[in-house]
Amino acid sequence: MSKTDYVIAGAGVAGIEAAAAIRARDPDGRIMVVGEEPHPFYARIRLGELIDGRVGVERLILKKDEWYRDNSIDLRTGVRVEGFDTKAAVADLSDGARVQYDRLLLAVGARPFMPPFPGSDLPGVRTLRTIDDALKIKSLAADARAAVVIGGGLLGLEAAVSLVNSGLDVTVVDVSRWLLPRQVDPKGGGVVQGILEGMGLHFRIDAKVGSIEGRGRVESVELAGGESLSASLVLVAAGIRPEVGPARDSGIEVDRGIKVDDRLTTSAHGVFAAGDCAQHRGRVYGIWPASEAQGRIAGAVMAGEKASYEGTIPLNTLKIAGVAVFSIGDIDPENTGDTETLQSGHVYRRLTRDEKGRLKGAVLVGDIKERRRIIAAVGEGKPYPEKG
Amino acid sequence: MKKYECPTCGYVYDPVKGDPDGGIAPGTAFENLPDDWSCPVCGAAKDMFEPLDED
Repeated sequence: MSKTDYVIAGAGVAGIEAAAAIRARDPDGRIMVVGEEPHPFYARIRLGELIDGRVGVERLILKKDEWYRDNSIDLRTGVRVEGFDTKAAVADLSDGARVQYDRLLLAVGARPFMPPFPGSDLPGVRTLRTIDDALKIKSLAADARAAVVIGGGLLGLEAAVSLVNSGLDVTVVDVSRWLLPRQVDPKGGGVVQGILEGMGLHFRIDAKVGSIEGRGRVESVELAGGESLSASLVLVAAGIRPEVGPARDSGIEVDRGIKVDDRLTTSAHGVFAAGDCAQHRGRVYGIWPASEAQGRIAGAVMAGEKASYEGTIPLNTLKIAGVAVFSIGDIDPENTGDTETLQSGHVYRRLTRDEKGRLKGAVLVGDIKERRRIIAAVGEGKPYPEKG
Repeated sequence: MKKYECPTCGYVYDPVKGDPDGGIAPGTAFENLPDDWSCPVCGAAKDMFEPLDED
């Protein structure tokens, strides 16, 4: 059995930020980072560009081999932590190795959620989370004429745009009443939909999938309303589920994610969690800035510093097919309170206020220049725009 | 020269500082960055960046 000071399970942003934060404080500690994927830390947000060939795999790799070497980080790719014994402080790796650790960070991320549609196991039905997923979708797209994307959230829309860029006829199906339901209100979603329809995408909104059909491989998606959409490629983008398995099996407290306190500490001594797998104050973020901050703070705490994580402001800035979308705070999608909306073509702006006129949320589509001032106004609970 | 913000991670490109680790000299305007330049923090592509409104 080998011994090391820090074992980091997961080579995504949370794991790598933690490794860097540890190294900055502990020049001599032995750090092992174990990543399940064969590729080192990369820009997961750019997988859509991999599908349509805008970039190759090399461009996505964020840290070169030298970085791991210069920081004395023992990176093991293609290896996962299968389980661990929190009493003995020993982790079992999938390559058969057993490692005694002093501190263990679980930054194992999340897996795509596959709703239990009949036919979801047919060849040609895919999810998108990793480089290898994207490369597989790219090769399937090369032989496909039509695709259906199930899920009109951020990942689904980005993938749908990539498939259109690849020359496919693409229909997006979503059970919600509007696109990007986690980021924008119905009207904002409508503006985004209009822009994407202009690019040639088709939509079935407020539509349930009944089943996925095909003999030997996928041929169509059958909607509950009776419509049949032919497709030889189906991409399911129905959200993620935090990876809690190994933590739960070793007796660590989990809920939707692995439960952590403000010091990113789990219920087990010496075991920490950060990123998409972690649940902090009841929240699983699933966004890059939160994973980055949690990883950085977990690393500092693991190296003995008194640091604490207070949460990440839930705001989104994104860009789909060149269209910028920004949202923050309570966007009141059901119009229950004081809202101000302004739409002009493909530019949309929505401000929501509380009963005292203080800004509590906003959606901007197309033109997001004022986002900084809005973030400040929401953060400080001030009226916006300021009078005078 | 304008600053630009990465939508994914919040990194701000400041032309005064440039991106020395990425081989970009201080004083390089955002517009003059190579097309294949990307966010040094999260890897987002240059064309994802949005101008920051100075106030």
